Amino acid sequence: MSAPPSTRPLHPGQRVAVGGILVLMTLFAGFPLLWVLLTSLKPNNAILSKDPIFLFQPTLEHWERVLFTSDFLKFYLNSLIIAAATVTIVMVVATLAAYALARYPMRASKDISFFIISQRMMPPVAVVLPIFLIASNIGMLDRLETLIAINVAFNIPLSIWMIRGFIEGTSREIEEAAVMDGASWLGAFWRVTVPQIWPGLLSTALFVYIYTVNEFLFASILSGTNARPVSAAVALFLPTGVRGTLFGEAAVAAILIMLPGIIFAALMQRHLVAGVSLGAVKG
Amino acid sequence: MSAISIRSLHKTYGNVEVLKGIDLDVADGEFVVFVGRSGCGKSTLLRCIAGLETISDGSISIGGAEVTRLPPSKRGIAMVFQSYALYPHLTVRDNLGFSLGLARQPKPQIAQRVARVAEILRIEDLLDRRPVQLSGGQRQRVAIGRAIVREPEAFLFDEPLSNLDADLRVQMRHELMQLHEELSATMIYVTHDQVEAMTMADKIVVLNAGRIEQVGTPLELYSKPRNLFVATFIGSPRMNVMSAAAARQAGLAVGDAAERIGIRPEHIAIGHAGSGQFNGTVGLTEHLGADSYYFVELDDGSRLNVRRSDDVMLSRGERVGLTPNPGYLHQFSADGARLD
Repeated sequence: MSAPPSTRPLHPGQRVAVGGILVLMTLFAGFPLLWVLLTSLKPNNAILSKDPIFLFQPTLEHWERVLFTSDFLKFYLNSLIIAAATVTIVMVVATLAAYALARYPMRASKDISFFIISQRMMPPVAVVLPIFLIASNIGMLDRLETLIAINVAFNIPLSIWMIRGFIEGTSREIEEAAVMDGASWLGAFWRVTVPQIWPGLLSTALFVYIYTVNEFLFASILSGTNARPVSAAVALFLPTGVRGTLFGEAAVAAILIMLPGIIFAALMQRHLVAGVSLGAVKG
Repeated sequence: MSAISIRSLHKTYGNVEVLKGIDLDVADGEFVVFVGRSGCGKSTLLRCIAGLETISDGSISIGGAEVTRLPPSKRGIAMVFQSYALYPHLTVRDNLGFSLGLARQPKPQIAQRVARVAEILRIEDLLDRRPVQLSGGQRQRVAIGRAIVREPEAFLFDEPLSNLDADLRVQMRHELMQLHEELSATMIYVTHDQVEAMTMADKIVVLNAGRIEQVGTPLELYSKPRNLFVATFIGSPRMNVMSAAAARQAGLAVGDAAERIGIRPEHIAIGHAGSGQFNGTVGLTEHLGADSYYFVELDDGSRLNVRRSDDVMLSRGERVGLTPNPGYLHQFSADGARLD
């Protein structure tokens, strides 16, 4: 068992230094978010002002336009459907595959593992043209299923590797104890191991979600007006010859895109309690 | 009836044969201990009985019913693991009741059986704790409780005390023996600890390289080891072994067929130089309080370990004479088999 983290109190000077660093890091990470939030509420003249403006009369005109007069909500829903389906399929498939690789070592395990991760080494742009041609030939362009399939394919390898690591960190004897107690092997995995690796599974799901929502290349090439997700749809608010950039609307879109991820992370925070498996086996 | 019968059991991993034809009968209510060196197959044999390993050939029956192809949960046995293997996310209460929950027992009955087991093992105060909040001994009790609560036909223990400190190990050993008396259940216990094997077992099974070398009561194994392996494995410190030729030369009555002679440290008398059948010089000594062990370098270069239980202390370098008790000589043939 590793030593518990030190609980030695900090010197007052150390506390000031640590506090200062934390404040700086928070500002660095948080300022762009604050700026986007302010931009979404600024009138256009304040947005376009040469000097940064922090005090202004807030307006909801950009929010109204994005939510009620543009197609953004439709694209937003597309993104949520693609992300939810991708996360669900990836988590089920990757968890089962990782379980097999972690618990049933065979002669080809190493090769299989390397083959899986090697799929992730290929730059997506290398296959975008063939995939476009295939999708076009079988009539699958501009469909949610196509984007879900692409995202699943690209997220499974790394997810298998991540989850396999979590499973290998747990004791097989605990699963065997559950089997002796009357569970099936898969039942033992589900009842005994999954609760132990739950934080890891949630982190993996968040990772897959973020990747999927941000996926731009295939989204922009394989989707049209019907299946377009927000990552491609944000371009609606970017410069066009006549209209110029709609900064306020782009800011609203950015906030909406970030929102589910933030909610998801906030909800799973309480599950990220370390040490749940301590004491289960000798130590 | 929960007798266990194993016939021609073979277990191979790829090209490696780990168990090479095991035949064994464990009577109902018997406490049997498997001993052997690391890698001899004792834990694998236990896991085969549990059903955690599929066997390559042979058969296993428990309580008269063939269970060779049955999953672990259908064999009517419970197992206590070396690492305790408690469910970390569940309280002690839920750990104990896990198997009953899987068997869809009614909740009041689960609570009743958990409470009874907690009382037997004196862990009533721990029921709402999680494994992480327990000491090693408490975790071991919970692991044993989890096995008891199922009221199995037989219990399997895989080196359950090896992670405990010495004091606690002795205490838990006594508790397990008491439990065996109270439950009158068949128990199979794997250990590499000789003291556990000798003190707990009704019957010891000595395994070596995937084969059973001997099955017998602790005293049978100690006083009549079937071969040289058992002779040197059972007993601590180990039996002295010397060539039969050297023994004959020293005037010991040794049969013609004997190639090797074994004599335990407590069966050699130690006296003044010239007074015994062997002369030597005291080398390394170990004083354990009640007993002292002297490693005596004989004049022919070999070494005998001698136990002395009196207060006389010998010092290193002292010349001594050794006299083996002829009634306790063990004679072995060239292939290591016992000659009687």
